Order: sequence, then structure tokens, then C-alpha cells
Amino acid sequence: MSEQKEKILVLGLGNPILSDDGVGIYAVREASSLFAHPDVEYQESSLAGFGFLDTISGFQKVIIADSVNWQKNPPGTISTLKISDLESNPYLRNFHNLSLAGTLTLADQMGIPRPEEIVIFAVEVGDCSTFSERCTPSVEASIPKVAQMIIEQVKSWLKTGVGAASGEEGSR
Amino acid sequence: MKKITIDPVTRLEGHGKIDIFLDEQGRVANCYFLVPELRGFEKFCEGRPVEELPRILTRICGVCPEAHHMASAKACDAVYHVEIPSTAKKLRELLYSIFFVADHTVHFYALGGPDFVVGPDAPAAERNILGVIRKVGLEAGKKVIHTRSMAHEILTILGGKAIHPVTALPGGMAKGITEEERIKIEGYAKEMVEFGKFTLKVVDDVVLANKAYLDLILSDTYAHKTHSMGTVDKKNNVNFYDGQIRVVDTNGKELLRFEAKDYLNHLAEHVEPWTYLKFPYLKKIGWKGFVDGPDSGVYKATPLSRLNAADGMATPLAQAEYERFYKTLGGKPVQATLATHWARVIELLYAAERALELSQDPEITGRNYRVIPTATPDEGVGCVEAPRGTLYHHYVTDEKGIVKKVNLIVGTTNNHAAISMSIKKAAQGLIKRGTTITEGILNQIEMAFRAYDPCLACATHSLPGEMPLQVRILSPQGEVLDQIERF
Repeated sequence: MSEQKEKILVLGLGNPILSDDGVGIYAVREASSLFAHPDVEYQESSLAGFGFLDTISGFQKVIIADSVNWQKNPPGTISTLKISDLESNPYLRNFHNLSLAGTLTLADQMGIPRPEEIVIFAVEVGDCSTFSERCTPSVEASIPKVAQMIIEQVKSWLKTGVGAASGEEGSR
Repeated sequence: MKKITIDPVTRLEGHGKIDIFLDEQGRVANCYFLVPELRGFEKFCEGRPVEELPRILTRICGVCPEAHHMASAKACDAVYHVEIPSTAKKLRELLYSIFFVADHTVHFYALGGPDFVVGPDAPAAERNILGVIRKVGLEAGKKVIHTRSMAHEILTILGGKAIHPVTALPGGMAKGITEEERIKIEGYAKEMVEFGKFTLKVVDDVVLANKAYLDLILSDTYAHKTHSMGTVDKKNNVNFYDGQIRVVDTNGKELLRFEAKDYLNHLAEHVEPWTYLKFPYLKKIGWKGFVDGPDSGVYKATPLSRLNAADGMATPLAQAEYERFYKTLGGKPVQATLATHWARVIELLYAAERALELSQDPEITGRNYRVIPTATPDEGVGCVEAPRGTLYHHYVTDEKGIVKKVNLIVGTTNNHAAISMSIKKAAQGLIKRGTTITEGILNQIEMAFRAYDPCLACATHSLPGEMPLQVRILSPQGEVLDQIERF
């Protein structure tokens, strides 16, 4: 596996020093401590725009864990989104003026290999304007749930043919 | 007064709001550029070992983690009174030059460029990188993506990690590079030089060849006579990583030249009641309000200011372009805010040429890349030129190296007063009595703002992304008359 990229990317997005903004990163850290597989790579990123394209390029399937600030649900509420949900959702469109959907369009136009499937787990935030390496309590409570959702999604993809070897629970 | 608000300012990192107040006659009375406040930064840093800061403070910003990494590592070197080995310095500058290529590329093609390449009045949905590629051609798009991808690979080698660099430490670098890696970087740097030349040709063909655009760039609506700040080497050439801070006045004459550690002797920060963000100004002249001219303490620290503050570029192709820049735009200093875009592309070429030079330096693969600090830590300032302006990190620690105090002036903050003035001037030029405020007009106001490539993320110490800026037009009574929210 040394030269070839793993097939599934689990990507935590957000800022891990800005309270609830880091929830996606914390959830991915937790998932990576619970489940390991040679075809699954865990990464975290606070980058916007092109940095995002650099990161996802080459993977078959991608799970993104991120925070959202819709202010329509109580903090800690988890939503599962697909790329098609993003087109009409202004709050997830500003990746350096390149929406997630726009980033994928760009990749297509340029002939850059792009993931065939992207699933996003988004957690409604409370406080994203205080410097802290911990979330507020209701958002913190969502972290193990999101971690489990990530693992379930990874396992379901692995079962349908992405990757060959079997996973190891608690191997990290 | 009536009020116009631009919210969000598109294509910018972070989030904020522009409020434009009209008077009873429907003319622009005042403009305010507002960003939300973030809390607890000082407290967050206090009590940590200072050597943690170069790693943690890269998270301040999703756009320029490398700039914070470098300024922070340099501040740590100063805190520990350590002179880093020559190889370490060259490795840092190589990393930083590659970062500049990548960052300036994004700004030109995705953020600033669309206004010129696609046109300031084009529908918002087309004023983006996809529109630029449609206009310039798919090959150009491939070059942009390829350049980004090469930079990503080199930054992973030099920074130790794909996204947030971790290799710069107090005393030098945590790792060096092998000959094999050097050869790869050299090859990529050569391609980047070609890309820089290509991008300057795009500027030529698309912007300069269009008289209407050149007139727009040179129009009074987008001009401000301010002092210019930038870092220069011993020969007064632009340098991003190290040197002295030089400020030239509105006529291009040297006003100040100082070491970064003395920044507090030369800069002070003005506070306004309507924003928590501060307005740095030159102490020597003092704060005279939001006005330009030689008697105002307002300065700019942008790619354009860096070119103004220097006497030239240290690499041959960029130097030739530097000379053409001033010849075309009527001599030094250039005060046309929109010319910042061209200046940025000249810096891109310089960064690529400098990266190539460093990749061919015999010392770059040296193994002496770190000195273990032995002095008692106390206080230090680290400074680099971030893509958006001069970046200062200032740390005070106890004798064990535990942080007691942190002060930052980030790139965009230097330009806060100038940005506010530029928005107001553009708004005054574009909105007169009875003007119907269109999307195109608001975009042209935003263009004044966007030329600075403001990173509100940095300025507010926040992550960019989900809450961009809003423009509102308000009546003298504060009633919202018009509001544009673009994402």
C-alpha cells in the first residue's frame, strides 16, 4: 500500500482550536482510534478551497465530518448530507468561493480523479467564536455518535467491494 | 442616513459585513467594514510551552498556515536567542516560497482574477474560477491545478505533513531533505517559473490589452495615496522570509527602516467604537483619521506595497517585470489599489524563481539544520511577509519557556484602515444621488476590498468558510434599504 492511496478517505474538517468548529476533527480522531483498515485513511484539515481538492483527489469514496451553523436545530444535532444536498445549501458553499459541488465540477472539467461518492456528517454548532480545544457539552455529546456513524458507513462500503482485507476493531 | 450592506463579500476567507450609510440626498456618507469578534485567544495561548505555538497557531487560519508557522518559529528562535543554521534558513525560505506560489495562484485565478478575466459586470454565478477557465481555456485550468498539486507535494516533503506544517522548530528544522527530494523540488520549481511567466502573459493578454480595464485600474475611484510597508533584504530587494521592515512615504522616499523586534516603536493601533478589530498606523506620523496623503499615519502592507517599499526584485525575470510594471503604470510608487493584482503575479514569479535558486543551493541538502537552544527563554518577535501583508508574532515567556503573553499583527490587519477607506471611496465614486444600486455596482465596491485579498479568518483569528460577508445599504435612520447576501 505504500505507493497507492487508500480507497476510502475519512476527513475531519474544521478548526480544532475554536470550540465547536472542531467537532468534525474530534469525531474523525475518535473513529480512527476505534476502527482501522488498510483501505481507509483518516485525515483532518482546516483548509479551504483548493486545499480541499488536493486532499480528496484520488480517493474512491470520501466521508466528511464537519460542523454547520444553520441555527435551525439545537447544537449537537447530526445531519447526513450528500453532494446533491449542497447545491441549494448556501451554508456549505463557500470553500474559497468554490463550493464543494463546484470543486467536483472543476475536478471533472480538468480530468482530475474524483471520489465517486461523498457522504457528509454535519453537526449543528453552538459556539464557534471562543478559542478552546473542547466543544460545548451538547456538541461534545455528538462526537461518539458521529464516530459510530463514520465506522458504519466505512464498513458498509467495505462490504460492497471497496477494499479487500477485513477491518480490525480497536486496533489503534 | 441610508445604509447599504454587502454581506457576504464573496471570494474572501472568513466572514464579515460592509455597511454603507447614505445621507438624506442618497449619497454615501460613511462605510463600515465589520467582522465578528472571537474570544479568548490570549488565554488560549497562555500557559503553553512556547515551542507548541508554531504547531498550534497554524490553525488560526485555513488559508495561510505556513505564514503563521514561519512567523511563530522565528518568534521562538528569538525567544530562545538562537541563530538557526544556514541550511535551516534556506529550507524554511524554500517552503515559504512554494507556499507563496500556491497562495498567489489561488488569489489570481479564483478570487481576484474573475473580476478582470470574466469582467466586473458579469453575473455573479460566472465570476469564479470556472468562469476564468472558460475564458482563458481548459489548458490554463490544468496548469493551475497542476501547480497547486506540485506545491502540495513539496509542502508535504518540507513541512512534514500534508496540510499543517510542523517542521519549523525553535533552532531550525526538524528534518532536512534528501538529494532525491531536492531533484524533485528542483523539477517542480522549474515548472512553477514557467507557470509564473504564463500567468503574467494572462495579465498582459486579458487585462493590460483591454483599455477599459487599464482605465479602471488607474481610475481615481480605486486610488489611495498611503505609505507602503514591506520587508527588504540588504540590497532593498523584496524578501518574504527575512530582512528589515521598510516603509516608504507617498512619494516613494524611505520613511522608516527597522528590525521586526522594534515594531512596537514604530507601529501603534487605533481603536474605533464600532469594531473590535484594530487599525495599525505609523507612530512617527500619528493617527489622523481615515484619510490618505503624506500627513496620515495610514499605511498599506500588500503585494503592491512590498514592491513600492523595495528597490527591486532579487531574481532576474521578476526584476524585469518589476521594471515594466512601474514603466506601464507611471512610475513609483503606484497607488492604484487594483494594480495589487498585477503586483501579486510578479511576486508569484519571484517566489517560483527563488524556490528554484534555493532548490539548486548546495547547502539545501545539508544535515546541519537544527541548533538545540540553550539560552534562557524570555521574549521574542518573529516576522515574515504573509501573502496579505507583514505578519508579526510577539511572545513573552517565563524562564521555563511557558507563554505569558502573545501579540499578533496579521497581514490583513495592517490594511484595515486602508481597506475601510478604499471601500468608502469606491462606494462614493459609484453611488450618487439617484443611483440604482445593482449587483454590478456592489461588485465593483467589493473589488476595492478584494484587491487586498483580505483574510478575515486571520484578522479575526477564525476559520474561514461558512459565514461570508454581507453588504447592506442603510438610511440615515439605520433602516435597511437594500441587502445583498452572496455566498
